[in-house]
Amino acid sequence: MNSNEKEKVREFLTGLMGARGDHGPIEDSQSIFVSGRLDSLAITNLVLFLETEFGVSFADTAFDIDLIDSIAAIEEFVTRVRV
Amino acid sequence: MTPGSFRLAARKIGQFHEQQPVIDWWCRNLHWLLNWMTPGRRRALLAIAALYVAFRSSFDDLAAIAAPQVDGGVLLSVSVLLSTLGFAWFAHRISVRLKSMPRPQRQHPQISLHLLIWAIFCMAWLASDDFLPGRNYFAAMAFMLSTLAWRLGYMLFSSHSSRVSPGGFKDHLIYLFPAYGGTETPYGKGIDYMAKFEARTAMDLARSQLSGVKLILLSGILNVTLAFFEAAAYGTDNFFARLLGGHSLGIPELGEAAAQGVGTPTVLGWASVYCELIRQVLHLAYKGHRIIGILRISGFNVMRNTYKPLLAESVHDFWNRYYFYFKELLVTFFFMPIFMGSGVALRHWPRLRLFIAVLGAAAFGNIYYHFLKLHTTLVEGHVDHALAAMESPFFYSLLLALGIYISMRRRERRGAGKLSSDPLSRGLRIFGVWTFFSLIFIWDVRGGASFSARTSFFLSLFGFL
Repeated sequence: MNSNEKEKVREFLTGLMGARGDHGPIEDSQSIFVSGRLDSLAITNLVLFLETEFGVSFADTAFDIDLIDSIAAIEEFVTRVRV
Repeated sequence: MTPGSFRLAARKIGQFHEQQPVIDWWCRNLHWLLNWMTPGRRRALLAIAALYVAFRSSFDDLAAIAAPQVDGGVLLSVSVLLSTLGFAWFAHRISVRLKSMPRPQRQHPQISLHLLIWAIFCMAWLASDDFLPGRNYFAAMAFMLSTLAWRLGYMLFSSHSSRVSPGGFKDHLIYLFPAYGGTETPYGKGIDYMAKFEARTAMDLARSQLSGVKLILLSGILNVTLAFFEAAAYGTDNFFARLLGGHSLGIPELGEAAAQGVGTPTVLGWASVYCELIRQVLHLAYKGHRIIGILRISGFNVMRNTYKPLLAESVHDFWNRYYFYFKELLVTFFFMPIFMGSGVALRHWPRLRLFIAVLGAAAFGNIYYHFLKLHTTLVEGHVDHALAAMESPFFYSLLLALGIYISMRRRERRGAGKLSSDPLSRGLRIFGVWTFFSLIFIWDVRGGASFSARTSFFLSLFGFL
């Protein structure tokens, strides 16, 4: 995942949070879902975004929220499943 | 005192656990305890307490269900205790070595677990009456494991991302047999989730304990409020009923009104449905605050189970705030596997994909959870009774799923657009959420009412009957 793609993810998450009245910054390692900043509806939005934007599939992955709980985790996951 | 300064003072008192002077006072006076209660010691204490809970469950719970099949005395209780612990240890070993398990178990560990539990139910049903000890043993095991199903499920999940607890099986005992209390729903989920909120330093522990003390105090206040509410609304016999001299609003309890079908005056019927919502929220909040309060005092500063659901402005927001750990259970074991698993087949139909996942969790998952809770009926082999008892909950779950899906879609369509913040619009939205949940509770409330009686009661509220 290159830096442009990472910024796309950040932009998308900022949009989701902004729509919920959370305009705070998102650090790379900061928890997004477990911390309660976003709910399960937002998980589906993020999954659809990652599937469409990066062509990744969660179908064969034992899903765990930790896989996408931070920008760093998303970066690691997308990089891993693309290989 | 101006209204502004009064609000500020009230907020300061309400948030006392976050005030630095209070935290400093706590650290100063309890420094010996905070320093002694290291994460390792806290976990060890909770694990020892868990063993005691397991012991009590094997003796008291089996006696309490009072089914002839599970009346077997001390020998049965001891063998069930050892077998349950053995089963849990075996599940832990599987979770550690899941990647090397055969494909069906590796890919579907949760389904494998539930199939195993149902196999034990089958053995209890099929065991011969001539060999009562064997039949009693399987019935008792089915009872014990069905109550542990979701906790064992969280244990199996811990293997997914190689995050198996470093403390090993001992740490898993903490939530398998929680000394902090709970139901079949694991409050605080599993050790992986709890570890994310675990206090690492003495200062963290002080903050966690203070927020726990706050929840315990809130729990007490809510319990008293609930007792007052029940006395004032329904005339329930308690301390407040005597204080009120036996006077009450005379509102019928929803369970009784629904069982009666028609005949309840419309105004009282509507009062009954709204009062039931308030009662359920108060009950769940006081119980949940107590459990989470103990967990926080123990050093796990996890999320609350209930957080101001009566202020929710949408159905799915209410569901998030009302019973957080049950919602998390449905999301973890049903919603996510269905949503993720259908990614290939339904990639081009995101709305259908969301609908199926919501239906799978809020309707099917909800029903299955409650069906498994009927273990007392199930161990007796009365599957038909258990299925019949699911008629009204099935309808309730279906309505809930539809409500959540529509609410989620409305949220998505709105995007970044903000809802009107004027008090009237906000009040109407909150009233709409109250009305939705109050009405669907008609098919969920206890009291033994039949499906047709509940439906008749619902129709009578609108003057149709």
